[in-house]
Order: sequence, then C-alpha cells, then structure tokens
Amino acid sequence: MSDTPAGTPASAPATKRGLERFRMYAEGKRAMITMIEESPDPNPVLLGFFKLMLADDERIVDCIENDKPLLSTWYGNANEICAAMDIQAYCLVDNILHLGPTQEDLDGMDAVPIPADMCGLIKMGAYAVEKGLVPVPTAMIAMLEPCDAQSALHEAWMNTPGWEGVPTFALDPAYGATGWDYDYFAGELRRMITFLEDHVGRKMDWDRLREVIEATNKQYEAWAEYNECRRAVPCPHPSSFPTSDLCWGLTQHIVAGQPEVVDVITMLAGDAAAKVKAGVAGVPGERIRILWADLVPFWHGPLSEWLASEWQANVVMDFQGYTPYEHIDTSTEDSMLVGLAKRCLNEVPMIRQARGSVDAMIEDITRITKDYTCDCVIFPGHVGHKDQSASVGFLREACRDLKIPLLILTVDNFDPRFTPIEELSRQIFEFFEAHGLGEGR
Amino acid sequence: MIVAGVDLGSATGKAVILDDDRILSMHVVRSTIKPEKTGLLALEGALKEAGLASPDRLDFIMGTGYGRRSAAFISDNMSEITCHARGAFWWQPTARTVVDVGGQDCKVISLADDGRVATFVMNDKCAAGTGKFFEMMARTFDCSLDEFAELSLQSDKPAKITKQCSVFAESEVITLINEGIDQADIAAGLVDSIVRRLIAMIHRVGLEPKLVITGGCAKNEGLVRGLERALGQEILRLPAPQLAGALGAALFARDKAAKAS
Amino acid sequence: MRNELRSTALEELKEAAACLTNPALEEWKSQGGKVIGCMYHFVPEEIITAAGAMPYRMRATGSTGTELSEARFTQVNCSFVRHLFDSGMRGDQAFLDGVVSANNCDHVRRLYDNWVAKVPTGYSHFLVFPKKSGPEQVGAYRMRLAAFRESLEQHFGVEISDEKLRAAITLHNQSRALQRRLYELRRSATPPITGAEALAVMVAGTCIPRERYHGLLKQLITDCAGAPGIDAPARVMVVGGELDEPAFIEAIESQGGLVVTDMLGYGYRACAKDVGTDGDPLTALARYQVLERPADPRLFGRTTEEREHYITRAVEDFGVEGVVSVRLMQCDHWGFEQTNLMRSLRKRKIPYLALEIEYVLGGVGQLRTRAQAFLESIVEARNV
Repeated sequence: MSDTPAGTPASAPATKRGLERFRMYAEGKRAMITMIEESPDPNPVLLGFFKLMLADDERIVDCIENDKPLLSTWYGNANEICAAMDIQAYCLVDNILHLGPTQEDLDGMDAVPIPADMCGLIKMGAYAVEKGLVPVPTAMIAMLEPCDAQSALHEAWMNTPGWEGVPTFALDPAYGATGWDYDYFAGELRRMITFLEDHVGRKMDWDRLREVIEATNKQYEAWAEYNECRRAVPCPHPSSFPTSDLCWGLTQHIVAGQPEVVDVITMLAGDAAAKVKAGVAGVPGERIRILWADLVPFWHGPLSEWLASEWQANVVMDFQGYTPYEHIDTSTEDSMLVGLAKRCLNEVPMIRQARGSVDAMIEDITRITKDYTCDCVIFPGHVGHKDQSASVGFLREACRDLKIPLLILTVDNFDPRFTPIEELSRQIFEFFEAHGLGEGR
Repeated sequence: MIVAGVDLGSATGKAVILDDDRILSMHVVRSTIKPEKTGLLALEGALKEAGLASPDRLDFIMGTGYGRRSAAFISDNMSEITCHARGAFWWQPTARTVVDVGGQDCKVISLADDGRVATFVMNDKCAAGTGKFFEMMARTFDCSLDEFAELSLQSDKPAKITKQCSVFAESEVITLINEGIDQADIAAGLVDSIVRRLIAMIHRVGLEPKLVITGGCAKNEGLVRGLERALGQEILRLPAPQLAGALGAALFARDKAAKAS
Repeated sequence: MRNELRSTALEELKEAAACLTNPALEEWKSQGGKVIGCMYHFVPEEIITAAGAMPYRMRATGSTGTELSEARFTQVNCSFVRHLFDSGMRGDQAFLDGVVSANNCDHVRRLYDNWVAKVPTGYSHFLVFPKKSGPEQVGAYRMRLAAFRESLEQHFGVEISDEKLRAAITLHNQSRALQRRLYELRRSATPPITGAEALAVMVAGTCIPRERYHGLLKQLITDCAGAPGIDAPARVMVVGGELDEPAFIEAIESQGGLVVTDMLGYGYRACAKDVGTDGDPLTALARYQVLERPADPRLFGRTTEEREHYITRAVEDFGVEGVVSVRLMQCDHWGFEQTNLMRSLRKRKIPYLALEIEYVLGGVGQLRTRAQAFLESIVEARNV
C-alpha cells in the first residue's frame, strides 16, 4: 500500500495513502478524549464513544503503516462477518462525516468532476479516493444499496488511478422483505465470505461470528431501551441527532460486536431512564416534538440549537435512530446468515426506508409519529434521496391521514452550503407559525 | 490580407481588424437588440479606427458570440469557445487555461500545447458568475462597475454570501446593508462567491498553468485578484481581454482567407 | 444536416417516433390488440409479445410541462419521470392497457409506485432486476420472469407457453438483426442516414407492431442502398441512457458532425446482441438481460469492460473521431459514467464532450454552441 496520491509534487517524500488523514482523525479523537477527561463533569458516554472510535482509527493506522490487510466496505455490509474473520474494515466516508468536512474538503468536493446535483456523501466519497485521503484497500465490498449513486460510486472508484485492480465483490441487495429475499441475500453473504477468504486470506470463524452477533444483539437491545425512553413526554434528552450518530457509529461503523459498546449504550439508556423518572426535559419547556424523516444531517448542531432555543422544539426521533432491530438467532450458520441478511436489508438506517418499495418509509412514519407523540414531521428532502423525494405524495397522504403537519424541505444532509441554516430556519419558522405549533402547550 | 473578427455578445459587440499579423484596430460597442446591427456598429467603429473606408476592404469576416448566426454580413462563424481560446493563446502562448467571464455566460477552456481547445465547460444557464451578476450588484450598491470592483478590493474580511442565485443574492445584499455590514466586505463577499463558482468550473476542466481571463469581467481587478488568491497562482493579464474572442475570430478569418486565396 | 435520401418508410418511422401513438398502433388497438407500457428497457418485451400483446416503451413525447407531477415529485427528480407522470395524469397514455416497470433507478421505481397509485392503469407489474451481473442473478431474475409470465397469463386469460416464448424471441431477434444491418450501413464513408434518423428508427421499433416495423425497416434498408450518402465533416458517437429525442442528435449534427453510431438505450444497446434460442426461453431472457446485453451503468461490474470494447469498436469500425455523452440532469448513474468516459477517452486521446440535458429539449442554442466548439476541436486536431 505504499504509493503516492495523484497531484503530489515530485519532490515530496513517498507517503502511504490515507496515513496522514487517519493519523489526523486519531489525533482529533485523542484531543476530544483529553478535553472530556479534563472537564469538570466528564460525560462517560461520550468518553466511551470516543475511545471506541479512536481504537478503530488506531487499528486502521496500524494496518496502513504495517501493510496489513484492510477492507473497504460499508455499514450495510454485515460487518459482523469482518469481525468474525478478524478483518479490519473501514468505510471511507465515515471520518469525514463524523468529524465534519473542512472547508478544504468542501472545496475539494466541488473540484471532483461529477455533477453538482449528486449527494454530498457521494461526492465526498469520490473526492476522498481521488485525493488519496483514504488507503487503497486490499479488497473492497461494494454496497449497491440503497441508491443509484452507491453503485455508480464504486464503479468510479474502480476507475480511479491507484484503485484499478482492487479485488471487488458487490453485494446484490434484494428488493423485497420476504423469506426468499433474505435467503437470497444470505447467499450473497456466503459468496462474500468466500471472496474474503480468497482475497484477504482470513478464514471465517463461525463460533466467533456467533459471539459477535450475540454481542450486537445486546447492543441493539440497549439501543431499543434508549429509544423507549425517548417516547416519554417530555423527552428526557435533547435532539436525537447526536445520540443517533453515537449509536449508529458504535453499532455499524466500527469493528462489530465489541462488548464495550453495550456498556456505552446502556449508560446512555440509564441516564435517559433516570431523567424520565425525574420528569426532566431534554429541551426545557418542550413545546414541539418533531420526527426528522431521514438520516441525521451533518449540520445538525446549529439546527437543533435554533429549534430548542427559539421554539422549545425537540427532534424526538429520526430515521437514523429509530430503525427497529430484530434479535438474530445464532443457533446455526444459516440462521445467522439469514438474520444478518435481514439486518442488512431492513435494519440499516436509510437503507431500510429507501431500498425497496415506498411502504417501509410510510410505515415508519406512521409508527414513529404515534409512538413518539410527534407534533409534526419534517422531511428534509435530501438531494441524494431521489426515491424518497419521489415519495412526497405518499408522505403527504400519510400525514394527512395521521392529521399531522408535514414540512417538505430540500437539503443536502452532508453539505451545509446547499440550504443555509438561515434559509432552513425561515422555512421551519413559517411552518410552525402556519400550523400553530407550540401554542397552548 | 486584411480580415475582421466580430464577437456578437449579449452585453457588447466587439470587432478586431487584422492585417496579416498586425492588429489594425479594436472596437467595442454596447449591444443593441439586433445582433446584425450590433455587429455592423462594432465593425464600422473598427474600420474607422483602421482608416478603412468600407467592409469591402476585408477579405473575410468571421463571426462569433451568441449572435453570430444572425448577421448576414458575416462570411462564416465559429464558436466563442474556439475563438476565445485562439485569441488568448495568440496574446499569451504560455496560457493553458482560459477563463472567460462574459456578459451572460462564463466558461473555462483547457488548451493543448499548440493552443487548440482540449476541453471546456460552460455556464450559460444562470447569471451567477457573469457580467450580469456584477451589473445587478453594482446597481444595488448604486455605483459603477469600476467603483464596485474598487470597493471589493478595500476589504480583507469578505462577508459570507449564501445565495447562489443572483436574484436572491440581491435581496441578501440589501439585508446585509441594512444590518450595517461594511459595504466593502459585502462587495468582497459577492466577488468571493463568484470566484468559488469559477474555481469549481476550473477544477472540472483541470487547472493547467498558466491561466488567463478573457471577457469584459476581466477588467474587474477584484475578481482577478480573488481568483489568484484562491488558486495560489498569478493570472496572466491580456492587453484587451474583452476582445479575445473577436481577435480569435479574426485569426480564423485570416486562415480561411489564406486557404481561399 | 441534410440527407438526400427519399424513403417513405423512413418518413413513417420518423412520424411514429415523434408521437405517442401512430396509425399502425391504433389499428392494432382497434382490432382488440392490447398494448403494455414498459417503463424501461430491462422489461423483456418478448414475454409480452408471447402473451399476444404489444410491448410499448413509454415516452413523454409532446409533454409541455410537469405541473401534475409537482404533488408527487420534487425538483430533485429527473425530468423524464416528471414529464411521463404528468403525461399519464393528463390521459395521454390512456391507450395503454397496462404498465410494467423495474427497479431501474431511484426515479423510475417510484414513478411506478406513483403511477399505480394515481393513473388508471389496468394491468401492472413490477420486476425486480438485480444490481449486478452474475450466475446467481440470472437465476433470481429468471424467477421474476416466471412470476411476470404467470401474472400476464392470469390477468389476460392467456397461456404463455415455452413455444410461444421461443417464437417471440425469434421475432424480436429479427428486429435486432434488421437494426444491426442498418447500423452496419453507417460504417460507410458516406452513411445513408443521419444519427437523428437512426435514433428515430430505433424509437419507432418500440411503438409500432412488430410485423409492420419489420416491413418498414426492410424497405428502409433497401432504400438506403440507393442513397447518395452523407458527407460528414466529422464522425461522432453518442453515448448515454434512454435518450428518445432525435432532436438532440439533430442539434449536434446541425454543427457539422455526423453521428455514425451510438451506445444508447434505444440505440445500439437495444440491438447489439440477440437473445439465445437454445434451452429454456425464460433462462435465455434472463441471461440476455443480466449477462449478455451491453451493460449500462445501472448494472454494476460490467461497464468498464463494455466501455473499452464499444469505444474500440466505434473508432475502428465506424471511424469515430469524437464522443459525445449525454446525461439527464439528476441521473446519478450517468453522472459518474460521464466521468469514467472522460478518463477512458483521455487515455486514448479521443475528443470528448459531456452534455447535460432535460428530458424536454430546451436551450438548443446552448447545445449547438457546445457541439460547434467540440466539432471545431475535432477538425482542428485533424489539421495538426
């Protein structure tokens, strides 16, 4: 994996792609940990979160430095299998998204020769590979769901200098949610295992897979407990955005099945439960309860702050945080693979709502608005979610039947420049006012 | 061999008369509603400056610009992309990237080593990044284009302009003025927003030094310096950037006339 | 670009491509024939033919707006689905007796959902098409095709035997063979038809009853033999998705380039290969769609190899000097493919122009300017 990214001046010393960036990410997390530890009241949940994320970065740095196998993959690709095969994986947009793209990243994204009307995350993925910000992997597992751009992005990576010839296996996602669909995708996972054995040189350890899945079962149970607390009125914690980011990050974006993840999420749930008991409101004087019908936007900080301070409005749930997870039966290889298939197809945020027909999205909105006593639904209309944008008619009908106000926006979840916060808050302000939201509570 | 190139733009009409390798004259007029009339006015002005009695003295007239197909007096026409590239390269043979910021469109052209067009991108779908945008903003500031450019150079803290559309940017500017933001900072912010747009186009084509700017907006020193800062490299100045297209057309006219003779 | 060819067959084909319906289709309907709309090219039309119905590729030709789509789609959705849905809502597609779609792309799969919900449709069926190409995917798609066959049988009260399927495959292969002959004629130094005309012929093949179409195409091929041919200052190829508007190609050709071949959904991709005639016909259809038909970016994994192959073919066999790619705004598949093409063509030093359009062609002047500059660069390169 020693190579020089395109555009590096000839005089610069040879460097391994991605090393500098991942060292930077690790440094950033170390700094966060220090800051938290030195604060008057260190938050144990955040501490646990950053330590686990840091450990993942450090493993990736180790792989780059020492030319160890490294797999490029995604959160919807059954990372439990990688953990069972002791393969270090990375999702190459993860750190840019979690830490936030710098201005240099945003400018770099604009310079990638793909159309401006594509999703910011996709553009970032193209940019990261083009600019050598991520290591060239030993092998790649392409995630072809939920959207067109995912498929096209991987094909583009395969055509990017430095990435040609990286062995690639693509998981073909089933479209439906029937037994046949899960069996089919379980077959794809089996073929993925064979591919990994052939190209990464690690063997599947089915006992280890059992342990990993059982640990993840516990993680998702803990997450479900946390979500249960958020149903309370008032909601015990402020905006769901940070906790959805935290829980999703720990469950699907780092090495799968670490028991410490259960501890962190359990702490989070415990804190929420205590606050429910004490009647504490995450947003004091909570007046408006919002369902954010999509993933957490990268620029959620200023939005949540404005909602809370100006309107006492709280995003009580979002699609990223909500996804209902089923317990996977670990008794046999087949039951584990079918369970993982179900998880990949049905239980990954965004993929769940976008992959197949419009039904999943409408069902989720119906269920969440009732379970979480929502006062309104905000559909962000992320530019990358073309299918969801073509579902607005169904959304309107569902919200009309639920008698719940719906706001349809157009944003880029991953690029704050697309719809500036001033414009967003103006649209939300008008929406709240027009529907009399927040009055008389 | 005396030839002419006529660039019929939306905002201005330009004409250049060449005598073999020598520029005899260059002339610019404000566009009228009829491209043919604009072309004739520009050509008449250039003929007068060259001391030529009539267009009959010309061996070939090449047209370019958006109105190029509408002028009967033109012998043939070529795209403004090809003509701007040729004109810019003639003046600056080390140029490899041409950024043309005209009245109603902007383009970035990448040149091969012999000055031929290698690739290009255009924005002719909206006013952002064009002379039209600067005209609107100068009007909002109640000053001339030159004064606007000068104002933008006085700031070292450009305001953040969030609107991409010129129409909405205008209302954003008014809001900022009313909020008491320094007008120089606002002007610099507007220039900055256009620079960003051009940078994105430059990257799509691939930046190869040296870079030149053509078109009327090349006179906006605020824009040029903004681009230099953003790109981290010097931009070569042309003697008459607004006439690069007409010059290129004249050079092609010369080629055609030579072939015909 | 002027073409001196006089052919009544070509005129009829062009008229069919320029309208939603045509006299031959209307006659088919008047005799009780059924017409099934296919929202994209992954629908194997042979199965519909075997059911005794006429497959019809859905277009929004003649659409002037998308007002009726505004309630169901946003600005983030491509203009093809917005115009087509609008067309459906206005009743322009009422001649269809049913629609079939597939998960071609994020826009079209929801177009189907919205269509079935809001446009009176009769029969409807959704095919799940795999996202990648492999033997397991052939098996999966065969299963879907079997369900499709059964659904047609049940709805229309017909039996679609393997024999009927084989006959339909043979019939559609005949169309492809005739179309390939037409493409072969365009290899000549003076091709008999323009690229715009060729696209019209291909689009007509998706909306005229098959026997009539074969008659017209055979006549056209005969007429071409006596054609003076077109002298082209430059020879280009157009690459893209489901372009169904010959006026786009006309805009390019108006600037002096002749489109001598293409890799388009309605174009060469539709006729390059035949469906196999051995063995189980449903398997043959599944293999054709998943493994054999020239891939477009929708199908992961084959595009790179395909691209190199068809560019080589275009340059060596058709004397192509430049490539124009076309993308509908908001299309993610072709967004990346345009970049992939750029890289590949740059390596081969082949001039390349990437264009973005809306479904209903607008800004033709701007298109022509770009095309003119591109063609000038090809001519200039020749002079070096």
